[in-house]
Amino acid sequence: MSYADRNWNKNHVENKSSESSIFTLVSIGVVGIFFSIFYFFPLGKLLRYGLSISTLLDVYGSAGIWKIIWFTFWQAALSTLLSLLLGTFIANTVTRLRFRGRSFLRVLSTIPFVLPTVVVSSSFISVNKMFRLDGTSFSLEASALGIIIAHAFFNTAIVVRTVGGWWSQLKDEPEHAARTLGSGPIKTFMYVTLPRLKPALLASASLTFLFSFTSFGVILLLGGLRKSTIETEIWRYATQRTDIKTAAALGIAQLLIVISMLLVNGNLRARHATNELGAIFRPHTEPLNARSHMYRIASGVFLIVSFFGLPLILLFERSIKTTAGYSLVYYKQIFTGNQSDRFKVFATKEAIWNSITWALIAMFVATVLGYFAANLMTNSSKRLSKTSDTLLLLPLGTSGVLIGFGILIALNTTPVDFRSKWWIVPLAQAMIGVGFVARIVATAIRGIDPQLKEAAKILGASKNQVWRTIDLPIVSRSLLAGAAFSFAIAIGEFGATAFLTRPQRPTIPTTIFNLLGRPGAETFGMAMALSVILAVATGLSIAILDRTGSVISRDT
Amino acid sequence: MIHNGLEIRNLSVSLGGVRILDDISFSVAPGEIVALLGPSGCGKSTLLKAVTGLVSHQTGSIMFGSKDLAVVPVHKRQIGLMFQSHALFPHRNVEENLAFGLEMQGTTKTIIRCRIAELLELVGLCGFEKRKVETLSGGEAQRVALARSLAPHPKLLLLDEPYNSLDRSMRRHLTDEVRRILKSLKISAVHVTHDSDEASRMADRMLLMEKGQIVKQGTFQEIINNPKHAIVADLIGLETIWKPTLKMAEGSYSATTPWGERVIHEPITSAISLLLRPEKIRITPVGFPVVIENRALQAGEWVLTCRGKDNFTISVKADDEYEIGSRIYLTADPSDVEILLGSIPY
Repeated sequence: MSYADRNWNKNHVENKSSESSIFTLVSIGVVGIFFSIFYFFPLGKLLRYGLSISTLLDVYGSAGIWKIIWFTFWQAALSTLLSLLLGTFIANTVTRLRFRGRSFLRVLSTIPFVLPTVVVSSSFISVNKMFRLDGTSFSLEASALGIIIAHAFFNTAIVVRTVGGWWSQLKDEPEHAARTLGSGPIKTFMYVTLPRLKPALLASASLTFLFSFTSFGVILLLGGLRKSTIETEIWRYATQRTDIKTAAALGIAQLLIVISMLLVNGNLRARHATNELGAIFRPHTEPLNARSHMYRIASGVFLIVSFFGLPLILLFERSIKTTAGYSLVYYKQIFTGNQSDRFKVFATKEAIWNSITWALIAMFVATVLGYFAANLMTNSSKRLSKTSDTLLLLPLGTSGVLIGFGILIALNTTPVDFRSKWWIVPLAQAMIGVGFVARIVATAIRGIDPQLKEAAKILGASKNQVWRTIDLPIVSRSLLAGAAFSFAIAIGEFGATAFLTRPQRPTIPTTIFNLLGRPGAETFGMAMALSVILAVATGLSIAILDRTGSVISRDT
Repeated sequence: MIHNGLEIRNLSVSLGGVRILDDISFSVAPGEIVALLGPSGCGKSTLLKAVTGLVSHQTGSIMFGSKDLAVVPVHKRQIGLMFQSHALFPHRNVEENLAFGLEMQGTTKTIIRCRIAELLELVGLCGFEKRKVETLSGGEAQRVALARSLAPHPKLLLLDEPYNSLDRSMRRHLTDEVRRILKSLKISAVHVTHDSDEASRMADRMLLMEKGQIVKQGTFQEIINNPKHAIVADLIGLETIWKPTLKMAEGSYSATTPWGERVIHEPITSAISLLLRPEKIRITPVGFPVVIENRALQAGEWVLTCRGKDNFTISVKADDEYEIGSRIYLTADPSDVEILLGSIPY
């Protein structure tokens, strides 16, 4: 389907009957209540804490805070730039060139996006140890360099998927025309390809900037005490110095910046129909046998494998490396528990159990809510669909730390003390995942060609039969993809979880963080082993996503 | 021999292990327009890409103006290419599209402006400078694409089915116009199409391609008079072609037609087909009885599709309108039946 067709689909308004308006009301109710309790109320309360002239003057009057804000900005800007460079290059390799193993590389470059921040940080720490970079100017620990490279490691996937998805739908004829008009390969890229990619580049840049700006786990683990951003400062003030007012005042700044960036992103998306995450590639490329292609394929493959593959391989290597050679002893310790008192505090088995059950609960909640929300986003009433689209973007852009922090300070005053209940953790995780599910499902619903439904009706299908034979198969696949995505997010979630979980109820990410905080080869090895387990769990769920994804977002 | 046009010798191209072009040789004289006719998937577009350098060839040579193009990169070949989809740059307006090639050559702004005005006048689009590409109609877009490819003064222009998305009358009109423009500028051209009508309007000479090979070349008249291959006759729209049942009698083969035996004197080594042109058949009061199955107007004349005994189907010209389903009688001379090599797929 071409872009023109798709835009037409979007504007195509279907007649809805009264049954569906009841469904709309239910959707508004369910989504509204959940968002009010777990998003708007906590964040409102957070704003009230911080909104006093004296607090604001106090916090923003100190030079230290401005240094942190400045660092937050420039590390995000550099991370974005690096991600764009790498992502565009990789997108070119995996969409414009044809070679064997291309789809594997595509998956390999997508996996980092859903990898838990703690896993990525751990693998960077292991790269650092492996190459003995500590103390050099290339050190990936306690340095801006490590943070920026780790952010690029995550966010390159966004660029690859967004730019690649867009690129794969562009015909290469304008490029060929430029070449025959006398422009060399580099000029052709600068004057023809880049302008054509602009919408996708801008969209992925704004998203990458947002994620780097609100990043938490990476800064905390790789930045150490020396490098901190607004996000980690909020966490420090709230949990370690118990200065809630300062934390809340910082939260306000964070929220304002995030909202303004979301508005920019929203404007971009309204102007150009780019689809950020689920994009799948069906390249229009024809095989060209120019020799330069061989070099491009080789360099692209080398970059993907070394940049994305190496940290993951090293992570695994470190998890089996003991003082007495390679063994699975750390894995054994994780599953059997350790007799020595030193390790009793790390209830690794419990952490795995907690993580899996909570992620399943979060997945269920996020999927159900995401389905309702997607129905609102695709509602025939333009005002309703636009409002819900914007509102649902909010939690997508709000960091886990802010959500966790908001819930922490707000929900002890409600009739039910949500905060002390264990299930507040999965609910907060669901809050973070629901925006993704809603987007994936909404994209699938919008992608249903109205002509398909019309054809089914003309062939004699009743309204219910149309829904069952056309809508349901497409929507259910997208629901499965959304579920897998929200599971991956929940199991690796660190920001909100770090706020809300109690020490006696650990998750895998919090345990990894605690293990890394203690010196010693054994705690390090166990942290690496747990990271591998977490990476495998998220990798499995993303494999499901990719299977279904090829169907759901085919024409998005 | 020193040749100043395009000279292709024994060109072969494989893509992804599949041989697309197989031992292609032909030449285009300076100022000559050659049509390249063939069914879709026969390798026409790949041939054009090989000439521009977008695809590199394995064996053979492409010479242009006595220079081997194998070592010349795409952007230095000075060969223009027009695409099926006009391939205008969407982020540039008409003027900026036309200027692109000249900018790449480093031409000064004032010269570029003059050249654009000149080109727009040439293609009949004066005043279109600031128009956005998406506001152009199909015909206008193709004219802009033509002007753009002519801007940097190419010595050779390749046209890859440029009018596919246009309606019939626009197509004819543009074909005539482009031919006039190319002839006035003395630019050689290779025009790829699968429409024989368009090919005959556009070109001085024709090449017919099938499965990566050139099966026939010559002027339209030469090819129409003697297509030689069944596939060639089919490509240029000759009717009626059919597969004969052969009989062996007195040392030579003969094919059965409704009007008697057609003796074949030539030795037969592979499959053959028979051709009987509609104008060679007369509608007479007595003769081979057939039923009119369908009819079509071709250039103002009725052509009837008729079916007779043994499902024998044949086309015949009629100067009057006949009812579908009515019975008529056909007469023809077996010696007017021509013998062609090979067969057509249907």
